[in-house]
Amino acid sequence: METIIKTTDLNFSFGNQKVVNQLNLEVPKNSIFGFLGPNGAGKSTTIKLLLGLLHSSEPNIHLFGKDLKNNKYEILGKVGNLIEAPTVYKNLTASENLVYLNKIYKKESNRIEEVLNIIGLWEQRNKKAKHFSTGMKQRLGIGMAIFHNPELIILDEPVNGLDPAGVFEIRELLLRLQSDGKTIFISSHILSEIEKLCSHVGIIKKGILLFQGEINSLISKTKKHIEIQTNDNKRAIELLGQQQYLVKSKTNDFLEIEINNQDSFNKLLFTLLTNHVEIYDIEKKSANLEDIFINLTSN
Amino acid sequence: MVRFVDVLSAEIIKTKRTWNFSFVLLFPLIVTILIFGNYVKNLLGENSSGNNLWVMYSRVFFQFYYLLYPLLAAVIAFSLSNIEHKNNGFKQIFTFPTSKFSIYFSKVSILVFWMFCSLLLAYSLLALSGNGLSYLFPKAGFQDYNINQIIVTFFLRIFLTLISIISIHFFLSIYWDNFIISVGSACFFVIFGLVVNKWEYSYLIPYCNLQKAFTHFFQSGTEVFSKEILWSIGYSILFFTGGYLAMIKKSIK
Repeated sequence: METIIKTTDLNFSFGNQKVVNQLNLEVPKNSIFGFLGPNGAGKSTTIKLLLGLLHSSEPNIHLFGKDLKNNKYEILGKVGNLIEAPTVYKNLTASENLVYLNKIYKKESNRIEEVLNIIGLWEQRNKKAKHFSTGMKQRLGIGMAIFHNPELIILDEPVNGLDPAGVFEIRELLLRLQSDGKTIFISSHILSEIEKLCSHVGIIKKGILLFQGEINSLISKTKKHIEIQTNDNKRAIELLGQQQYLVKSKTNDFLEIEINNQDSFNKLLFTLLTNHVEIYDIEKKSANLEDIFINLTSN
Repeated sequence: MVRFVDVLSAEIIKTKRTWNFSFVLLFPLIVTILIFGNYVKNLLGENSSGNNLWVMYSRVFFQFYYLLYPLLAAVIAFSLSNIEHKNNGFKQIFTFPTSKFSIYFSKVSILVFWMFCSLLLAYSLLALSGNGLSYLFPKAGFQDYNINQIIVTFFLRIFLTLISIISIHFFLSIYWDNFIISVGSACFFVIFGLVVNKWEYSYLIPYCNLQKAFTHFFQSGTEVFSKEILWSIGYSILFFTGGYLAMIKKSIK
C-alpha cells in the first residue's frame, strides 16, 4: 500500500532533551491514522516536524514520497492542518475566513460554498466567527484545513471541547473525507473516539514509537479477559492460582481472569466445576484501545 | 509557492473590521477639522497675528502629530500582531506553501502602507485646509507665503521616524502580546523623548526625532536624511529583523 507519511529514524531535541527518538512512522494512503501518546510524549513535536514548523537536520521526513526538506512548498500545498485550537479569525464571518484562504490557494469561486456546505455552516456564512460556539469554530477550523482540497489532513486534538453531538459530527465529517480518498492523521486524547474512527494507530511514549499498525490487529493481539462471579471467590482464586491463572478481585464480587486461548478458558471452567465452585455469572471482556494504551504506556 | 501579492491580499482581508486601522485615517481628519474650525473662528474675529500664517497654522498640526502619532503607530503595530495572537494564527500561517519572509514582509507592508496613507492624508488635509483659509480669508495673508517644501520635509522625517517606532512596537507586540507593554511603553517613551530631547545623544532615541522634526520645521530645514533619521532607518532594520525572528519563534512554541 502506498505510504503518505514516512519518517526514517527521525530525531528531535529541545536542548539536551530528546523529544522524538528514532521515530519510524508509516501512514498508509487513505487511512485514518490515530497518533496517541501521553502528554509530553512528542506528538505535537512530531506534527510540527511533519508540517515543517520544526526542522530535522536529516532529510528523513517524506510526504507523498518526497523529501520535505527539499520539496517543502509543494508538499505543504497538499496538506491541510488544524493544530491545537482552530485558527479562525473571529472578526471575520465564516465566509470571509474562507475568502481569506482563497486569496492564497486560488480555488474556483464555488469552493467557498462547497466547503461551507461540507462543514454545515452555509446558513451561518455571514455570522462573525466570534459569535460561533466551540463546535462551530472547530468545524470552521476543519473547513479551513480542507479548503484547498488537500490529500493529507493533519489534525491535532480536533474534538477538544466539543459536546457529544459535536464529536459525532466531526467523526462523520472525517469518515466522509476518508471515503473521498483523503488520508487523515489525527492526534487525540479521546481514545474511544480514535477507536471508532481510525483504521490505524501509532502509540508514542517519550518520543519512542511503541506500536503502529492496524487498530484491529492491535486489539486482536492483546490478551482477553473474562469476569466471573462464583459462590466462593476465595476458593476460586486459590484453585486458579494453582493453575497459573492471573486472577484479580473486582469490587463488585467478580473475579477478573486473563485468558490466553479457548483451551485455557475450557480448562478454567473444568477446574472450578470439578472442585464444586459454582459459577453464577460469566462475562467476556474485550480489550479496548484505552486498556491497550494504558498497558503500553505505563510499562 | 504562493506569490507575495496573494499573501499580501490575504493579510489585508484579516485586518477587516480592525477599527484601529480606520482610526489612523480618522486621526488627521479630526485634527484638521478641529484646527480649521478654530482658525476660521479666529479669522472671523480678525485675530490675525501678522506672522507667517502657514507656519503658525502648521505648528498647531505638528504639535498634535509629533505627540500622538507614536501612540497610533504602537496601536496599529499591536493590533496587527494581536490578530494572530488572539486567533492562534502564528503556527497556522507558517504552514502555508509560501516563505515565512513573504508572510512577515506582507504584515510590515500593511503597517507601512497605513502609516503612509495616514500621513499623506494629514499632509493633503493641511494643504487643502490652509489653501481653503487663503481663499476664504484673503486678507489674512496665507497666500503670501509658500512653505510647502518644509512641510513636505517635516512629513517625510516623521514618516521615516514613525517606521522605526512601528518596528519597535511590532517587535514588542509579537514577542509579548501585551497591550500595556506595547502601547504603554510608547506613552513612556514619548514622554521620555520630550525630557531628554536636549541631550547631546538624543538623536539615538527615535522618539526624540519627532520633536527634532518639529524643531527642524521651525528652522525651515529641508534636509531629510540627517543623522537622526539615518539612525531611525537603522532602528527600523534592526527591529523589523527582530520581529521576524520573534515571529518564527512563535510558530514553533
